[in-house]
Amino acid sequence: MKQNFQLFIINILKRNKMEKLKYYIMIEWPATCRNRSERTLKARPDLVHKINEFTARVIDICKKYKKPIQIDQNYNMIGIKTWWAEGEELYHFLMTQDENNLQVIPELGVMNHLSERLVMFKFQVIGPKDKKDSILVY
Amino acid sequence: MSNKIISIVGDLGELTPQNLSANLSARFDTLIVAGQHALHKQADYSCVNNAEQLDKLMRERAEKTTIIAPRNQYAKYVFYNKIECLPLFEDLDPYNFDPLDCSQQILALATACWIGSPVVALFDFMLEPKKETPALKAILKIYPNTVFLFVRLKKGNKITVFNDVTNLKQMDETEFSAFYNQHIKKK
Repeated sequence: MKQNFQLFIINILKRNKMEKLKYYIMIEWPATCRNRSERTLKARPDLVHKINEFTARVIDICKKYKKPIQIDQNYNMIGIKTWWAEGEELYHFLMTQDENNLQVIPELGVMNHLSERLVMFKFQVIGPKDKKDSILVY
Repeated sequence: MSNKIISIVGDLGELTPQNLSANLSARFDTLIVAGQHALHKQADYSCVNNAEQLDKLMRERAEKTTIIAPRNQYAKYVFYNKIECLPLFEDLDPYNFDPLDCSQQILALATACWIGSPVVALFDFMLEPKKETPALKAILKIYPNTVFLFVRLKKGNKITVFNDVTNLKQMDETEFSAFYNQHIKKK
């Protein structure tokens, strides 16, 4: 079982270039894998395989970006928690989630570097991806 | 961030890059300006609560300056660099402080007090008996252990409205320089 979850443990990307991570989003698991307890997963290697494949795909997509992205190593039932350093890259990621066949929960956490607190926002994609203001944040 | 002395530049508009002396400029440790003040490109932070000014500042901001805006205005620029959301002013909560309903110089002062420093210097601060001066005096009272310096570029008569405020000193630029040198020596 531990081996199956290895991906979650090794996936801090570009560690040597670590900068202040500012943005937090959660990418939902594929529909069939959501809300599965660790106990269920122990009995369902097929789901574990799917989760690992999905995680590997997310890592591959994240590797295309220049700035550091951190993927939370702890399993949770909703999806993959990711931390981003660069707003422009996250914007691109959110705008391309459909073509990457990903679904991001429309909640955005922003680390305020002044107060060092995470401020939560909701967001909605409202326009085409080539425009700079196609995501409404509120 | 250096917290030796936090300097705030208000809304008066007398202080400009042209008449800012090198002597004074060198003594701005952490500089917070009100919105689009003429010194905004030299500031560490610019506090803004006016949506139009924010749009303009985001186009013109210098590499050094971080814009600080209220949550609802910040949301528009959430994916941009060098902009932060205003902190929650917990100390001011009991006084119904509304970041959207105060002047930008008061917002800058509140931010300086939130960051915290034993000495906060106020430059180019606009006084106005109806709203600004009472708001300023209220904040001075909320932070009794902070020394506030009300600095004017030229020597003038003492402003009597501050007679009952014990933690505020009035001075001109020369006196500020002397105070600064002495304060730094003490550290």
